[in-house]
Amino acid sequence: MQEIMQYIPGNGIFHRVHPLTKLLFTVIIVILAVLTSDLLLLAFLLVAVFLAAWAGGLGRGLTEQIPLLLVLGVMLVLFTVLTMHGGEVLFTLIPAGIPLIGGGLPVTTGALLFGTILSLRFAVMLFAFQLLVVSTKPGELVTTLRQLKMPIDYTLMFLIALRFIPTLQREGIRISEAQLARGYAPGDGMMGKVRGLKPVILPLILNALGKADTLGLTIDMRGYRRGRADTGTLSFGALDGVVILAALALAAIVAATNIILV
Amino acid sequence: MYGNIEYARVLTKTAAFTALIAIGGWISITIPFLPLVPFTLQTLFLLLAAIVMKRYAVLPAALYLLLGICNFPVFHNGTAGIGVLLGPTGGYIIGFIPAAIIAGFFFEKSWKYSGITGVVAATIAIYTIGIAWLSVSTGMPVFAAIMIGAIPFIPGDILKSTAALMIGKRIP
Repeated sequence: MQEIMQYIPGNGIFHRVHPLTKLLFTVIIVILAVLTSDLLLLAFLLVAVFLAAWAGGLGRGLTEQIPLLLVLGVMLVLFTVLTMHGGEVLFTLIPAGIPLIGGGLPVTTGALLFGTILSLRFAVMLFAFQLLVVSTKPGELVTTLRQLKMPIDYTLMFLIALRFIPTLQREGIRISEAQLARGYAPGDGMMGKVRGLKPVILPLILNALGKADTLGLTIDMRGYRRGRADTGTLSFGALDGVVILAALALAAIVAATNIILV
Repeated sequence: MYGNIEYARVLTKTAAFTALIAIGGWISITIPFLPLVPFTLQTLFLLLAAIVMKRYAVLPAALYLLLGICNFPVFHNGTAGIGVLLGPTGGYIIGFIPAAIIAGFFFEKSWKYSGITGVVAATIAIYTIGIAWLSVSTGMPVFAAIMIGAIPFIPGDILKSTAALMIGKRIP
């Protein structure tokens, strides 16, 4: 399993603009993606976000996500097909011969189209969020959210949780490799997988709690929660204007196309 | 000392358990022939959160849902978004919040069987909301929803609950 949503050091466009600008860019893209339900427009948005990432030198990080997105897309389409019905019925997943649930779960064209739109929308939103998180130092995000007068407790909770996900994931992998190195053979198949989890989870939880304890102490000693720690301020530059203008231009294009189509 | 150290610890423990619940969702074992309801370790971590954090256990559950709604891929198999919550398996995720409240309440008491009661009550809460939503969102009859969405998972949940109680005893 690959690691997600980690800060990658760099010096591209997205690294140099103010986090608030990136936040605005992301919010605009997400709103556009939610409001658009046209297949071609969503594909256009996806390409636009991808080009923006490429211009900022983050293209590689995004291409790494494509296999994951393909799997998710297939799953989303499957879920939609199973739960939504509309348009023509192509075939049914359960043959009519089976009692109780026979002849159920028809696959329809409307559901297929809707599922594709959902997965495209999901890809656009994931890429936009990734651009924000991957190019922003966690400390800068704290500063920005504080400048926006968000409650510091919830800001810290949110960001530490995000930061913990890749750390604990890596730790879980490391613990399971350590157990394997000590000759622990959980066996094959599903039961082996279940048995193999036991000696991993206890160390993982104890380590996570230890980390949480240390971090709590650190936060307290530095006075983050009282607002005494000086997190500094960040200022806007000319590049911020360019990024916001690009986002607004994108919004205008999508809005214009929507009006023409309607 | 600056602020309240206990509160700072609640804050970081919330973050840790949110991350653990998210990771538990990636360790997902799909049972063949039943693709609709994934079998994950999320409830194990949720119960452990209740054992460790008592009444504050609702915080990681809520933060986990918030992360998912904000489109971070934290739900089972790396999915995210409000669409998953509204999809057929969304009820099981929404059920985490009442489950955390119930389990947290019982683990705060020191009755003789409060631990087991808490685990069972929390699991029943997840099942109830999950099955209700599975039935409503897919238009499946309740009986069929119970057959698909509860019966195959009862052995796994007994296993997970026992593991949670056993691991809980070893956490200082």
